[in-house]
Amino acid sequence: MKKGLRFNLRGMELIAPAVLVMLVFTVYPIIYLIIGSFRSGSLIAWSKAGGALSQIQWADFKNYEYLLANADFGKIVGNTVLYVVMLVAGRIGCSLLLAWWLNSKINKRLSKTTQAIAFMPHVISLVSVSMVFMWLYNKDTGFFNSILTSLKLPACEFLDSEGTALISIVFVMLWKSLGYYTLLMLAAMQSVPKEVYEAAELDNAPAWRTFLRITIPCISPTIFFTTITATINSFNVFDVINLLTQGGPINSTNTLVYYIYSMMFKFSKPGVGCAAGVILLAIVGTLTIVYFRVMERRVHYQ
Amino acid sequence: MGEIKLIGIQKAFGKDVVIPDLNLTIEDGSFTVLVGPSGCGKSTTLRMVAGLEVPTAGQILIDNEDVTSMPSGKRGIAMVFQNYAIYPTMTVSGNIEFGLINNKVPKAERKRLISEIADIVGLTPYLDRKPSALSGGQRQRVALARAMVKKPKVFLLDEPLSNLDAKLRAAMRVELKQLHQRLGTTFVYVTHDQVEAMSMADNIVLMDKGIIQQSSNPATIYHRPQNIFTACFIGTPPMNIFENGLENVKFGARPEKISLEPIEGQAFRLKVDVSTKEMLGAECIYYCNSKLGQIIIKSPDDYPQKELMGYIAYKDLHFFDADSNRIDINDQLKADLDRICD
Amino acid sequence: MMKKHIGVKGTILRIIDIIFKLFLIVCVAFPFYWMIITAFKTNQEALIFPPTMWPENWNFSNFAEALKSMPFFNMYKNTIIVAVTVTAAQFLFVVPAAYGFAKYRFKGSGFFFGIVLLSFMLPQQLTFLPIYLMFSKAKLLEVTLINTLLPQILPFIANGFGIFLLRQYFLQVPEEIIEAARLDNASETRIVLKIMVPMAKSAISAVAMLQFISVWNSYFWPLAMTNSDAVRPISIGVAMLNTTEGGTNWPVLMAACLMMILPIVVAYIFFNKKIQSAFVYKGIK
Repeated sequence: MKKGLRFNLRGMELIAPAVLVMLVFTVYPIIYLIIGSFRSGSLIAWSKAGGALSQIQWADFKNYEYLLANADFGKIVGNTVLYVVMLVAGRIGCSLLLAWWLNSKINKRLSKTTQAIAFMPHVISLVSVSMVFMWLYNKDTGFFNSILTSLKLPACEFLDSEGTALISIVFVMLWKSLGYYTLLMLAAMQSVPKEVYEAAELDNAPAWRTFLRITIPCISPTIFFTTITATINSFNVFDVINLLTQGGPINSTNTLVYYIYSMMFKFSKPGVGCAAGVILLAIVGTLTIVYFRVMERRVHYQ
Repeated sequence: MGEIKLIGIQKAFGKDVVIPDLNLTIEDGSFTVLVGPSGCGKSTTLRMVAGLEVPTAGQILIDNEDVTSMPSGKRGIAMVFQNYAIYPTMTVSGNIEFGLINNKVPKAERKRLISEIADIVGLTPYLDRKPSALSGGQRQRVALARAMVKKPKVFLLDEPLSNLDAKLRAAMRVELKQLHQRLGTTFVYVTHDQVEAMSMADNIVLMDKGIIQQSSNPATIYHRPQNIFTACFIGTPPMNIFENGLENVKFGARPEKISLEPIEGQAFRLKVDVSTKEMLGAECIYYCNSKLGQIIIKSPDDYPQKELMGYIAYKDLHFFDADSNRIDINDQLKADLDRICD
Repeated sequence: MMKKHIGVKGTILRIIDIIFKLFLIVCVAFPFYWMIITAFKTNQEALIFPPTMWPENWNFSNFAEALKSMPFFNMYKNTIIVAVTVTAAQFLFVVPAAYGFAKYRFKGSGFFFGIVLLSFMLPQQLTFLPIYLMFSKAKLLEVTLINTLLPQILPFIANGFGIFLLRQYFLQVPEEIIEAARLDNASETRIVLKIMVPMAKSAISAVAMLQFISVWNSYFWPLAMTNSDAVRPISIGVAMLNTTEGGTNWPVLMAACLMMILPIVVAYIFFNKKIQSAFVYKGIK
């Protein structure tokens, strides 16, 4: 193409405002995070220091050592992994089944309505959602326990018990996002030409076999990309934890992001927070790179 | 074996009635072509036979068995789709095997059938390829192989050649016809192309707006069209229809049956003015005007004159009444024709 | 009329299908139902165990109390201002950037685009600290920025996700249209405004909708970026109602939640198709 210098400049002009904003609000904080992970000091000290934390003492790898030696941190990483695995499996698994069910030929209008209602929680504020679930989960007066006791089952402590708190939160997040993921899967399933499904019908295929050997392979790119974005998204859980359990009981719902925040603000150990942040950055960064490498390769391949 | 009967079939999509009342018998072992313009209901009819659409009313019988509420996979039919619809994530071999697995054919038998059919359609070197690595023609063979391997009672084909280039299309027409002769199975073929219909069919079912206009073999449809629609649909260029020459009767003649030289026997004569001429090599097409209106003439010879005389044998004239239905020639009509002759 | 061709087995399947779908709808909708009826109960009734499924005495005062217990209108106003400003500002930043990334090749375009991607993949918890400190110190016209709505607005005006989506869309606009415009001697600005933008109307409105909802619902960022109630949005206000001393007044809390989500719910009821398609919008792979 005949792109000369004029073109180059023009392109840069167009992206300049956005990039500038991003340099300030994305790049600078990341650099700060990395630098900060190697510094010690309290939050107050940091707030007094300049933008590059130049006045703060170097701590070399002490922050990282602190994390690795800290049993708490180990538990937090464990919680995070458990949480992410449960949530992603739930999101992808349930949304696939649900999408497939809603894609069938029977009761189409009801399916559409079901989908529309299932999607609504996604656009509703997580704050409100958390509040309602906190109320539903209440171990003394909450609705869920009233159901359990009326079925002669033991009441559950949900958010107040170490064993059940994390999974209760997973459930809230799943409820909120299921409609969204189902919609993504449904859109993918509908982009498969309907004749392929018809050919399978003519081939006398039972429903489960069509699902496993045709539907899923055909939408496997969508499944792949959605799994990655769901994973990245699952790491970013903060709001619901801050509202419902504040990391407890006994650190059972303390996940990486919440830990970072509490280190920085509550415990005034911003250096440690930054170190944990760098670890999270590495994880999310790797996933992002994988996502885009695969995407580029696919586009290239086609 | 594979006789299909459609009895009192009605199909409506919501309030839109696309097929009001269809009655048709497709003979066992025949190559029947459903042909007609877009939206005439031919694909819908085919899909109802396949079980992919459910008729709003009426019955479908295959081999005298009522299959109207039977699921597609159990009807013993195979279908080749316009866009082939082969499973994009399976290999060629997997595509062919899929139906066999569902019908609980044992593994050893499956392997044998697959290699047999691959041999017949010429896909043996491609068995491990995925559809994205195949050409259009090869994909079509996969669709065919997948259909054939099931040894169905009936083959349904929904415009299978329309996505191929002209040369391949011509070759495939011959192959499909040969395939039909070898298998002897009932073939029901849908197309909008009347040339395909004429060249391949044992029986043509011409449809318009959900109604069968005529159902007969190609020769009969060509020589004795039962109505004006049929007369104009079959044949390129279409038949010339003269509406104002005779009272209450329309008559017509095919462009290739109008001679520009005097002919023996009783003939209708008409003076024509040539407005455009297309030289196609083997023949010429003349677009002319006459006292009866515009007229198209196809002739093997090239005439340079602007004014010509057209001669049409009486046996090559077709007559239709006010309802556009066929009338056979009679003496009264002959007398009327003589009067308006040039 | 169709049923005689489906048979008894088919009808039973349809009924089971209906039952299960209705069950699913109830499961999803139930928390909303619970929110609504709790908001109309008295505090005593709310605490009865097992809870009542329908308010015995309809109590409308919870809403008034919610309004009283925090600077409600001010916070609502803040939410609206922030959401509208961010969405509007994004037109200026996102559209040209998406166009630039889509149609121009220049040095470092890959690198800069990588930054764009990173900006929306990263959790806000990683980036908030230095920005918070920055805003705490910066002053504009004698006002410390942390006491304004700016910290909630500025970081989002160049929404990376929007740039990404819109770029995908622009990439698919055939080059010929742009070349035709260039032949017609149109300036670049003209091309963007009169050709690309109208063509991308659906994509742009999709992105705008996503952004608006996301900003409306944001909790962490305003939490981290505000020190005083004067600039806090309604999401913080509602969260603050949840106190543990003396027990939470659930009906009032639920009433506050309802008021917070109401505009979004209403918008969803009317535009749910459009909103759903906005979220699935991947710029048409």
